[in-house]
Amino acid sequence: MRSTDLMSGPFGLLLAQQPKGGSSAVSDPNTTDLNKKYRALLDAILGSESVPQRVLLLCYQRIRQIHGLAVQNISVKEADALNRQAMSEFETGEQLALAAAEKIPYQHHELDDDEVERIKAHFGSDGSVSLLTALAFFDVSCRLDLTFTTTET
Amino acid sequence: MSTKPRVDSAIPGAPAEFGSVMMHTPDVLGRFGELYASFWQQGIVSQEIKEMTRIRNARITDCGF
Repeated sequence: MRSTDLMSGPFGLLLAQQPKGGSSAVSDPNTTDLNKKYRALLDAILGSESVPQRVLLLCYQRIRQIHGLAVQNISVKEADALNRQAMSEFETGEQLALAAAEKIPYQHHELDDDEVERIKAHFGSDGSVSLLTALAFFDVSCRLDLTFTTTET
Repeated sequence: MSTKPRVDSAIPGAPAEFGSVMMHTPDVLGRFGELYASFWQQGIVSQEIKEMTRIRNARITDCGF
């Protein structure tokens, strides 16, 4: 995964706009700087060598589902399994990560010590920090896209 | 509202806290720091408003930090 995967929605498109003079909705001259640095942060998070890319992809898609967003870059079968939380269709590491991903959006305080210990045992300390940071920013990305999406009536 | 770290410090001998735990991913920590500095130091929205919203967010999410 790359930052472009998380920045293709309304927020990413808005942040990528070059500053214009006059009546542009995005006139902050620092937007370009924020865009560059935010994408660099996302690329660092997503470039982890301690967590398999498939784990990150599945977790991002599940968090998108929780927020009511369309899934991307996974099969219909995988999307259905995520939606049904059919954990038996995923590998051990994927199951551990998805269990945490399930809680990040709205139940983050219910991610308990035992769950984090199991994540550490499987992915190591580097991997657990990478994974939990990634989950947080998957949630951030979804919330930003929703914030900048108009609600049609 | 616990602030007890769940992951050990990446720096031998240093206590576990945000920075030392995030040193398990030094590249991420470095880029986060750059983004965070820009966010706070630049832009149209005042630091006072940013701080108010940060505190409010912490209350809503029950963040100990």
